[in-house]
Amino acid sequence: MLGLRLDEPLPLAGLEAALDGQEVERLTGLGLVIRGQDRGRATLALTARGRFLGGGVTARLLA
Amino acid sequence: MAGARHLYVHLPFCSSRCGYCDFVTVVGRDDQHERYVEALLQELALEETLLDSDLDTVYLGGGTPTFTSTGALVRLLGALPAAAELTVEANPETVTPELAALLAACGVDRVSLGAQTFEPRLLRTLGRVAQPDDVRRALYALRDAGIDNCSLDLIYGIPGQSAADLTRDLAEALSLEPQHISAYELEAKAGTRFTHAHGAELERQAESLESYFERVVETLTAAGYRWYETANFAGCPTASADATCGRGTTSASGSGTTTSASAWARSAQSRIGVGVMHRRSPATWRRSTAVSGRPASSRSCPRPCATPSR
Repeated sequence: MLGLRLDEPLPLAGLEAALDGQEVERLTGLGLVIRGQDRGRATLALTARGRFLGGGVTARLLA
Repeated sequence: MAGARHLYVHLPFCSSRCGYCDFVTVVGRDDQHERYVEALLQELALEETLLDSDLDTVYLGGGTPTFTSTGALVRLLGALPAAAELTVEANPETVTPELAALLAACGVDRVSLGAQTFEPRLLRTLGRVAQPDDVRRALYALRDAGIDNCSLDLIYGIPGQSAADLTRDLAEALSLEPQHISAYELEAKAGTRFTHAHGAELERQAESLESYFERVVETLTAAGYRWYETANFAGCPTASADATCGRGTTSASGSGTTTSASAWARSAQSRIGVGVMHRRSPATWRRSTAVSGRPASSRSCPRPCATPSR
């Protein structure tokens, strides 16, 4: 999850079980994280706004 | 399984302990430098099979690696596996022209300087030895020795720091055109002498941290640096040397930036000397290596550049 600190999207393969799906939805709605695809693989990244709250966002993402 | 492509090596020795520092450091044990490096080399031999034959980065952190006795440091640098980028952390006051030349001769191509602030009264608050001119002298010495790829560390939220102080620190840092800037908020640990001494002021600073963080990001990105990691900014946009911003690049993004921390955050890595990072004294750690043939800990303590704080 340290990878969320980067400006490059974090591949989610292998991390799904560690994430709280509802929080991902909620934080996406708040514009703090953004989901994407990279070569067919799901990714997650903090938005610019989310990066200012990165520690708190990451803590909430964890299941 | 592919081996680790990034190696972190911890050298804990310092001339003095800064009040805010919570890394494992050791002061006043000059007689242990050689033995510690000997133990590091033993651990490196034990861990060798875990490393990829083609390393991207080797990072010597501390402590103050450049405070380590010259003989021990040279011996360690000479024994490290080859890597595309070899970084050494340094406190500015330890960097002389002679040391810079020595580091360059040993293959060091990147140095991370702990400037923290350019304001003398704030340096005193932090317990730093270096003065602002030491930072400038160190940077010039490194460049004269051919080490153009330098990073500056800054800290904000220091007791007594104002927004204007931070603005001046950022301007000073930018004027030196480092290839990389790390800007961390001060994270004072509860129960430390530093917290006892500055508790009320730390609380006041905490109220300003958000705006300070925004100011850091706004200023450095406006200057052309890429905000690639929460506290890290890469790529000096005005450096004159043609390849200085890209030399030893380890970032997968290929934007001409030197982003060791980026590579560290995403990659498998191996660390030696991390026994001491798990609150074991160097002496205890050396004994564990000697007795068991393997240090008690090895790959669980994340430390790409400094403590993530947000």
